Amino acid sequence: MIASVSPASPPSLAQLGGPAGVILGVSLIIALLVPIFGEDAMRAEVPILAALSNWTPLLAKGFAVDVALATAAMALGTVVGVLLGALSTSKNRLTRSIVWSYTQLFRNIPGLVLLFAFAFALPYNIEIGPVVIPFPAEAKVIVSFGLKIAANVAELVRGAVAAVPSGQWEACTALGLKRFLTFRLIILPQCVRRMAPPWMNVAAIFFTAVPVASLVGIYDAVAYAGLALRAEGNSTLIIPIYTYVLTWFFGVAYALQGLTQRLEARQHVVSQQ
Amino acid sequence: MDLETIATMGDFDFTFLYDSFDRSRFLKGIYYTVLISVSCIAISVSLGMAGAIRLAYGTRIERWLIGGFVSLFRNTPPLIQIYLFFFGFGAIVSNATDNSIVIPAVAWAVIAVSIYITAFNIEAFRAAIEGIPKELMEGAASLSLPRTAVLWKIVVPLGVRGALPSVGNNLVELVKSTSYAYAIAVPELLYASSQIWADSLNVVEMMFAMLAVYMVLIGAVVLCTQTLERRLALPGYGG
Repeated sequence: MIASVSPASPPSLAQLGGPAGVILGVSLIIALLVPIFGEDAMRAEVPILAALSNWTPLLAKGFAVDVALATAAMALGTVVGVLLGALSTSKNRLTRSIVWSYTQLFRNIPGLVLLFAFAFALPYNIEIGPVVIPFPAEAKVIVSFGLKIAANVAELVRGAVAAVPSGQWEACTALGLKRFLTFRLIILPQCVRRMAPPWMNVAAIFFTAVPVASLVGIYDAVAYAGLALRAEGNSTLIIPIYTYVLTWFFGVAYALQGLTQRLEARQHVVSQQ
Repeated sequence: MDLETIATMGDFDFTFLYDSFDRSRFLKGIYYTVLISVSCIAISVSLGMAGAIRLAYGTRIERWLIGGFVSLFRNTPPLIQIYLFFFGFGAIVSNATDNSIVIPAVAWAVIAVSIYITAFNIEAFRAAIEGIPKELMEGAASLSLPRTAVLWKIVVPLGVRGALPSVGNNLVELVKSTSYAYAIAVPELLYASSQIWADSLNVVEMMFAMLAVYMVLIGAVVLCTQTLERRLALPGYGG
């Protein structure tokens, strides 16, 4: 594997968007604050930069909630998704059609609607006989996002498995390996590398979707931004504070995107050997 | 059996089937969701194509700006984007004397969702334009075809065809993203449903109703793009 060779591919968006993205991200705050609000900011009692720094600890606390929720949902979704993806390669037609229905349903339902279904249609405590399992809002966010991620991951696994030459399945059968063992020992390890870039794409997309948790009462970065704005009661702060939070999400998602493209480029080179 | 008996069978209570007030709210919700979806599809597809063309053939500054635009809107939460548009920019353009809204929330929803999906569509069209065989461009150059002819006879027709599958995916994402309008109180499907269940306490029923409507809308979008794909298919390309 030659990792250090840079691929001779046509100029990708990474190269075009790279500088623009980074500079945009960094300069967003300054660019938006100074020209649009310079005059208002001087009239405002609290200067904008001071307000931002005052609220930074609280916003950071909320942002940590976003990151934690996204990470947990991604972990849950990946485990369930890989299982579903494995089942989708089953020889049993019924199993395949059940997995297919699951992926179609959960990929096509709007995330917000699914989250609302969990938040408002399901109880906050699930009673199974004498056992009461608490089902707090955080868990609802994780499970509802996890189910959607699982549907996406299952599709990735299915695609990656389909890309492995079927001769390998046949060779394993000839060696007397059972289907499940073939999948786990031979097929899946090859799929992991192929799936890494699209998997990170899924991670980035769902990470940027997580702030909808603020709509069902989770105190995340966006919820705290709203509280901060209400506390300040100064409409000139609306754009700065939301932009401030926006750049944090941008930083994480953009780093993920960059990593994805680098992985893709590396695999591009390797596959050309 | 009348409609109300059917609608309240079992433990269910589909109020919007027999209650005229709930029905009008629900239908209005569907109307807004369809309205936002259709406007956003028109805007995001045309802007996406235009953006991809400028990304491929524009000046360095244009490429830089469009690349930045795509990275920015793809990598940030759509919820914050819609808040920024509605609360942030909406406040700037509001009437200075009485603070009344000049641009209604539904228009901001259309703007926010369009821009969000445009970023994805530019990326889809860009990939398709890059995938156009080099030989075609060389052939055009050897015939000294004028630039506009190259654009309209090669780049656009082949770019549209190549991008259709991924644009179709983006449009499904678009229909789902219209539910973000809920956050700024546009009375679209999700918002209307939430108001109905707040009054009638029929959350489960409204969830199923919403699911059915979204599936029909998404199914329609998928059907349209697939039909278009089949109609536009070139012999000798693809499956």
